[in-house]
Amino acid sequence: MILGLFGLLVGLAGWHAGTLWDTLAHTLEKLFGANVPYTLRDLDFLVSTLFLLGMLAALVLYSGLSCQRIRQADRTAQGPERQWSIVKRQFLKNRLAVAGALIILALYLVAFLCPFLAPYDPVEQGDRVQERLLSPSAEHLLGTDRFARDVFSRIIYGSRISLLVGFLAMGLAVTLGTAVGAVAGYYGGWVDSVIMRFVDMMLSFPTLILIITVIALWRNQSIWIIITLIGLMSWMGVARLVRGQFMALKEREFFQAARALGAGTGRLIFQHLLPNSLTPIIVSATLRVGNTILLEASLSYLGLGVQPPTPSWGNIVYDTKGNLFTEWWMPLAAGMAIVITVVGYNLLGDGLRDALDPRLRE
Amino acid sequence: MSTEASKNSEVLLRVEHLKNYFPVRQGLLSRVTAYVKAVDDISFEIGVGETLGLVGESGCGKTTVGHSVLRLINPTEGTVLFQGKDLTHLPAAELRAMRQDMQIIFQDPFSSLNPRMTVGAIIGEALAIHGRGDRKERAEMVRDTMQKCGLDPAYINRFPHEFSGGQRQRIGIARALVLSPKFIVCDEPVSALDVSIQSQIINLLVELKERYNLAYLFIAHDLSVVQYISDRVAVMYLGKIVELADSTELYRNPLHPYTQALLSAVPVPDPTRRKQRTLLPGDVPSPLNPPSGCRFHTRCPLAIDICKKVEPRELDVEGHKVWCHVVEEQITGSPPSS
Amino acid sequence: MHTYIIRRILISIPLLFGLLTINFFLIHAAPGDPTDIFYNPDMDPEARENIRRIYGLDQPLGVQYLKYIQGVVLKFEFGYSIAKKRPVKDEILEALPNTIQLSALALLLELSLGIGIGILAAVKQQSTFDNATRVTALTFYSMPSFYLGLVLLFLFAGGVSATHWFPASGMVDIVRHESMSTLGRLGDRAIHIFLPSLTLGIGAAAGISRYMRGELLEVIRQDYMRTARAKGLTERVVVFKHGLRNALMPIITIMGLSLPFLFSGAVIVEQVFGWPGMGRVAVDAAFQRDYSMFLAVNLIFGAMVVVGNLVADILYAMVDPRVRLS
Repeated sequence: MILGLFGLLVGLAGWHAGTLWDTLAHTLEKLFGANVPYTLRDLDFLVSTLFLLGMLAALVLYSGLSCQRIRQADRTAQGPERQWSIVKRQFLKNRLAVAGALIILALYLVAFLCPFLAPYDPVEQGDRVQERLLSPSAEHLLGTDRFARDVFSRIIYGSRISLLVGFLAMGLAVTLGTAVGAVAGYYGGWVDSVIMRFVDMMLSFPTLILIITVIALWRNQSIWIIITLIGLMSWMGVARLVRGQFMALKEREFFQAARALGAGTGRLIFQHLLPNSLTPIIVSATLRVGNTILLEASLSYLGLGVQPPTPSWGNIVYDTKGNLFTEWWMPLAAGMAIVITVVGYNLLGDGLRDALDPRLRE
Repeated sequence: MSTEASKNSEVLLRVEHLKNYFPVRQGLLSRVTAYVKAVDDISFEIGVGETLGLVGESGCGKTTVGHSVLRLINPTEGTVLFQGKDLTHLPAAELRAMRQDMQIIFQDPFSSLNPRMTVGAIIGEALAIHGRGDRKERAEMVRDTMQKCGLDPAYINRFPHEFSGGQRQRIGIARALVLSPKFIVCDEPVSALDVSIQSQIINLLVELKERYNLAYLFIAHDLSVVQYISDRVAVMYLGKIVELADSTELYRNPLHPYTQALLSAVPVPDPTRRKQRTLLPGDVPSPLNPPSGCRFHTRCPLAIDICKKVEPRELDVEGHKVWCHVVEEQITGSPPSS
Repeated sequence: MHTYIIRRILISIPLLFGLLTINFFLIHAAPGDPTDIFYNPDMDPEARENIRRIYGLDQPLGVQYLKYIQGVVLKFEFGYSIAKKRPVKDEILEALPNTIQLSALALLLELSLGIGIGILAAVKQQSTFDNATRVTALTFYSMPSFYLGLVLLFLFAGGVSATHWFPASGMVDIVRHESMSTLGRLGDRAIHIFLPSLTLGIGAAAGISRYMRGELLEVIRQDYMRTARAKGLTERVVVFKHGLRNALMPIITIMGLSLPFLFSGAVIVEQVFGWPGMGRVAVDAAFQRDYSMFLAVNLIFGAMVVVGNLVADILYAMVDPRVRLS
């Protein structure tokens, strides 16, 4: 069974690699051409990149884990229980967290398998007279919108936007926040004061309104800009967290010991401070993904996010909100997809926190 | 001065007029309104292979002394001469090189080891920092040091949380020892351990000291631990040394009333001997506003008028140093001058 | 205590200036300019310059910046809205009270619901009620505010005819409001504000209740709580007198920090329910590229957040003796 799964993954990877190559040239052209609305092909490119990166990460992780397992086998059987296995057990005991993880896994699979799952092309318009605003039926599970497009297929393709936004914006926010927080926490003193005042100021901006401002003024709604903006407006919490962690860890004796050994700045940060801050960073990153997805959805709902015809859950709601009192299933189903996804991320984050936080462990 | 570092003529570490003041900021503009005088003008010497015990109640500044000596914190004033070089103004690169010869062992074996690193990585880190040997040689040196410290080298890939407190302290000692330093600050290395483990660790430290001719600055809060390991002992109270003498001399003939009080608290394993206990009234005053004159006068059973006004001078009786007006009067026979 | 408050206020002033400055230069760094809406392709370039001169856009950026700051600080003037063809101040003064009304009611809902449910869940930890509210709170917390708004609209404002109890948009019934009695007008306003404030409040309350539950559970574990029980105090006194006071303090800070989210939410909710507030102004300004309007909206929201945090900090200092003394 594992072999079969592996074969499936390799096949998928091959397919994505093909898509990647196919769309690379196209996307580069897009990137440097001004104000061309991006298309589904750009998305293919992004999703393929993500998938291949994910595969790579999974391979590294897997080999790391098996190494550890071999090493563990060397040890005496009655040794104390491994930290990691406690965490795993705690996490699996929490049924809600497992449910969250499964939701996210399903979302990833749907996003990667869009072309196989969606019964229709998400952007192609049908017969505007005959097939417009159809009610749900066996052919069109969620009916059709006013351009006679299959809503179900659009929602399936919409998962890609949420996946991308959640992943990339959170990645940007966490990287930026960790870097800023690390500098403030490590150096302290006036560096810390200046940075933290700036963080305070950034926190005073109502995020959504500032993003609206920038998007409207630059008249550019490419997904890159949106993801960058969301990332640039979400790093402050991580920065505060990392700074606090660093401050606390600097008081610990192992940090003083490393200084006494003559360790330099790089070693102190990357060997001693950062690895010990990783747990809260991962938890907060997971909990933050939900927020970035909500932010993108809100922008799209205002018509300032991802532009049609590319489907995103937010812009499907925007497109169909006029039909709320008649074809209510369209906006409500698209919105439900957002809720389920964000719930999934938050359950996962809560579960991770409970499993990793030793204070809550009995 | 001639009797300083009596056993060895060669001085390894000389601390002169060390001061550590921490500013207290208050008010609108965060102006510095006062200083916590954690360490206030202390001097001592440690010879090669010699152990100096540093004793005092918690909060008296002894840990600050230990950290300042290694320049883990920058002293406000004073000089720290290690092998003739002043550490307080050494450039970073030179200081790093110097660190190979001076190390520290910490109090808390749970906080002093990085939980994300294996024992091998923790002990070998110093070797990696100072570029000693290649990977293989380093692993060999780590195993070797583990053995010296009574740890099974087979545990090299384990993580700190898999060990008991005593074993963890051994790891901390191995980390300090791996570079074969000449001097180690032992910052209350046994006070967080069970009593039964304490003696094992102390014995290990004594053994290592004799084998490698190590010098220790051994910090502790009770005299009984220090007695066994130290050649000389300094007693600190509120940022100042009040008495410094040869270990046996100090225990036999404590001069300062504070030392006498501390010694009376040491349990003696002899039921036939009834001791007179000196109990000190009150609490240790805050180092933010230390008492004027002799800092001990608020709790001293012998205090006289002058103690409140004038700081006592150093009195050197054949290498036994003491800072106390009353003792000075008794010994010199003349009233202390103001 | 006084120095603490004064210092806290002094810190807020550069914060506001920073906000203003970043906004100003951000907007002026954008391509294009606000007079674009007057232009058509065959327009005389001279006429174009004229328009720019009228609105002061021909002056150097620094001069424009200083003039702007002068206007805001001394006269509370925010310039002239080119798109709306009236002073920005008038537009703001019209919209701001509506948003404040909505946000204040939502804040009230947020606090009462959030704290209440949080306490109940913590006291009855692991009970069915606790688990049910945890899942519910998580769901609402994970729900985009526009979705909650649409669901409420669908359920209570037209989608389901049996429960069509509330109007779908606006602040008052435009046709009949003028002819109503005072009491009738009040009722009219109430049924119009109900759904929007509920939408805004529920989402925020979910976050607060999650936080409150965690905070109270943390406090319940403390030794002084055990001491209080050991003294023989009733569970009620223990929880409300010893536990709640300590658990509520961080909530004050959280409340201050939640203001930007509340205002962001207001933008969306106003859009969903056609509420004529600052959010509408902001979105309109975005589509019309109305520079001065944007600056004003951003500045006012920012100022409300800064002041809100200031109030929260001062409140915290008043409740927490540790801050008060230092």
